[in-house]
Amino acid sequence: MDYLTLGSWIVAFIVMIGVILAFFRIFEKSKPRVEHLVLIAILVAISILGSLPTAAIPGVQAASFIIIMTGIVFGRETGFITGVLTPLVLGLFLGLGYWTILQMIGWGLMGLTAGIFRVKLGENSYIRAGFGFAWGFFYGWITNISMLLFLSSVTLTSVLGVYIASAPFDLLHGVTNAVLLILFFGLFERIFKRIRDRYINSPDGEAKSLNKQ
Amino acid sequence: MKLTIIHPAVYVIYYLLLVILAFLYNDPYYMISFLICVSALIMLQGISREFKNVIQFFIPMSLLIIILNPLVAQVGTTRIYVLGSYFITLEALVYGILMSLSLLIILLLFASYNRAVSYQEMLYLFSKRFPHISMIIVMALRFIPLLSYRLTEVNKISRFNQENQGNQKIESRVDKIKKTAQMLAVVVSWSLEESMLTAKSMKARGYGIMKRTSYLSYKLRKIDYLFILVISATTLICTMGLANGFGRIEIYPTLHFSVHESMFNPYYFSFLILLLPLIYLEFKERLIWH
Repeated sequence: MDYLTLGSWIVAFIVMIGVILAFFRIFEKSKPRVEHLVLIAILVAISILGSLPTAAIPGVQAASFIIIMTGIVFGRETGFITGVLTPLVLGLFLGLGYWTILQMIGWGLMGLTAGIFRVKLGENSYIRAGFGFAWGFFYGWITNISMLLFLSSVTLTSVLGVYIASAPFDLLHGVTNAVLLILFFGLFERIFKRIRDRYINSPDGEAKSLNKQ
Repeated sequence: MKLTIIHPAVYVIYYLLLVILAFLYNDPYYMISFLICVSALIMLQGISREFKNVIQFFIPMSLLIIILNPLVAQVGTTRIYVLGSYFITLEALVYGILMSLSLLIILLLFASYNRAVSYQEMLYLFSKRFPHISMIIVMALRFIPLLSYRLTEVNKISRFNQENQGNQKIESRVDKIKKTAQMLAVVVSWSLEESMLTAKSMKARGYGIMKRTSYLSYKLRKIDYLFILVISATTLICTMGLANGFGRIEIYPTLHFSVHESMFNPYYFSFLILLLPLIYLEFKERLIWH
């Protein structure tokens, strides 16, 4: 236990912030359309509305459902940006902290992977439920890093200890995800697809004029 | 209303430095003076509700740290036997307690930060480099109350329909959940349609043609340079002290800590000076206003 461990944690956090800022820069450089911006804003607001009433219970997070749906319907970039911005805006409501960075990474990757496997996830409801269930655990494991910081040594036993302590919450999160993805996938897919086909992917010449500037 | 306006970027740098230092120090003297100063700052800022939230969040986490640390790290020479031949070490226990103290300080620092820097100021910092992202954040912050208003409206209508039909008694739990989801779906599709109108309106008013400007504007002034000078000088001295082992006690493999060790060295004083500027500013404001 020395400066090496503490220093590498600090460096790791700085790298995480740097990666997030780099993705933001890429997003800025891509000159997104106004429709796209408003769409992401409303999706972030919806997922926060889903998680604000249950913010006190660590396991139940309806935000994950909306983020996975976003990834599946709108693709990986929108899924990633929505996932990254949700904890940031949630933090402005409930208070920011160093854990916000880990939540951003966790939810961002959730949206990104949902976008990558969108074809398979859209077809098969079993794969979808399994995906949501697995991400309940992955998200828990990523946010658990905020606990590992304060343990004296990062060994297999310490990692296992923290992860066993958080397992019930992760299980709850995963089960919530899976149930929501089975029951309400069709309903929300219909709503999201309508918007996507009508406004985002529409061959509207006028809409693209902003891109050229 | 604040009399002394400090540039938000200076605040961000200051709190970031304090968090890193809180993570690095583990000498009880330093930690306790740190805790006292941060508590004083929070009291001067007048946030008791946040304080309660922090404590609620802190207690389970600190318990987990204190219990887990001796269980997983069996390094150290002073053994305490718990059950037969199973032992935990005193060093690991002390480490867990000091680390949970450091966690408490970090949580309090973030609570104080959330009070000192409002989200408008943070977005001001953000909007120069990331105009689109900050626009999304501003819009999302506005959409949240709008969505919850719409949810209550849809709720009212659904309850009205239910009472008119007069069959609210035969309702199982599954029906209830389905009805809630149906209502959420109505709100979502309504808001998505409306948001596309918002986008059209924004485009018609020329969003994105000119560079984005901010409602707030700050300039680096004399007091900001003074502030930066003080904190960078003291942080430099503190870092030098840390490199020489001041502010850290040796825990593993054997606990080395003596009460009579002299605390009166320049490193400790510069650490105290680093903690004071915000407290001084808040205190000055209190004196002037009351």
